Amino acid sequence: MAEPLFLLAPPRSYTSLMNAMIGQHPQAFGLPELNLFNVNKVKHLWRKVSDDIGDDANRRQGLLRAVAEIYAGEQTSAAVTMAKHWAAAREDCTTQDVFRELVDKLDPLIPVEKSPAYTISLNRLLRIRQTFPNARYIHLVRHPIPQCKSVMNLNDGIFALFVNAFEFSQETAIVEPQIAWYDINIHILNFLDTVPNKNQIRLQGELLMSDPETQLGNICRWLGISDNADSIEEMMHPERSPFACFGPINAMFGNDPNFLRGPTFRRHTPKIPPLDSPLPWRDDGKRLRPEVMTLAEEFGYGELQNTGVING
Amino acid sequence: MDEKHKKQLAPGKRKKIGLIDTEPKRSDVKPDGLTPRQQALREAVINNFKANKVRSYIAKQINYVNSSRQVAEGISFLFDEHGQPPANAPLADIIAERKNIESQIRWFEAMSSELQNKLTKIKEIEELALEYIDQERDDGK
Repeated sequence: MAEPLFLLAPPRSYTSLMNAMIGQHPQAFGLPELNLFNVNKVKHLWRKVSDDIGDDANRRQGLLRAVAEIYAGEQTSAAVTMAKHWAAAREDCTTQDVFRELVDKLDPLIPVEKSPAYTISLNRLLRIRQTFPNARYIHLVRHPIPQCKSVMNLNDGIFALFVNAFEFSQETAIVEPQIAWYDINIHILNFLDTVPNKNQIRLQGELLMSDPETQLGNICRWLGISDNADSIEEMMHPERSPFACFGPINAMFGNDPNFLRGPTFRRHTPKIPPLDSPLPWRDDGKRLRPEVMTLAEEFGYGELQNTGVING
Repeated sequence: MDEKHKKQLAPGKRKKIGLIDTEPKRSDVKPDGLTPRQQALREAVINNFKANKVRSYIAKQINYVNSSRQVAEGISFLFDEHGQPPANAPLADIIAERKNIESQIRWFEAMSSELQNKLTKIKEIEELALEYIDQERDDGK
């Protein structure tokens, strides 16, 4: 069985693009966001959730699209209906067993998955490790300021609110996305301590945007799959993924809607601001917290050092 | 499993600075580790967020209403209180207003055409959804 590859990163860190790019390799299969490890059993994906500020137990459209594509070879309304029956037949199965079943079905292709919701809980990450002790991981990092700005621009920062990223003072509380950036990365680092070094690498997302051929080549060699020009060329076209578009009416999403709307890769060099820059989402002139700056430096953002694949 | 292996598998102990690992994430469930004051502040932020969402929806609706009112106000000077054009309106003003109205009509026509397109698409989606529900219902019988 080909061991799966998981991309671990806070949201808005190029995960959708990178997942689709790696998934386009002829020896890999890029999955939509399955969110299976968010819950213990398949039926829990269908439990009633709060319509208050959101929950992530009902994010099952990625699973339905994946099952439709893998088993029916198409993503039509009828195929998604079949996928619902497929899931219903496994409602009492653990999500770990179901994920394993999908991986077996895809063998010998390397499944690539990236549900950002896994990273908000150490327990979810540990479920992955329990299920796939030999899985490989890419810790995808992004500079905290653009990442937080992007989080705050998405639906008024609902993600930061959703994960309780609050900064309290005597009189007020404000939503502070850098807390989410820091804590999610800490989760990932704590989790990766359980993973052998050879099974993990860390990569700056900005480098993938500016020099994709080199970075994708490095990833291929690390995964032990072909890094020839044809494979790299295929990886440059995430829009060719069967999941890089909206799905049928009964499972339209399964990924970041912005990615589904425009999945084509556009090479560019992202601006990397100094770590002590003013924060665009704050009007009180406050800067990044010292802990956040230290971690960002550890990720290679201190002196704009572009080291690419950092370990592994 | 030997001690060395056990140690290798243990997650790291780096400290977090927030309350991210608190499930479920709903406003009616208070995350652990907050004082009552902080809980109240958190609730206020969430209520404010929800209020802003409603406010922005209403603002969008008002914008549509205001556009229609602006057009009505724009042409009102062409008519007196009896709905008749004033006797001494300067010809230049009338021509300018005529051009303005023509331009607005073109704009409305473009808008209308765009909305018609959207409506057609939405109807298709609605029909598909209803068809799907019917099918589900039939399957359930």
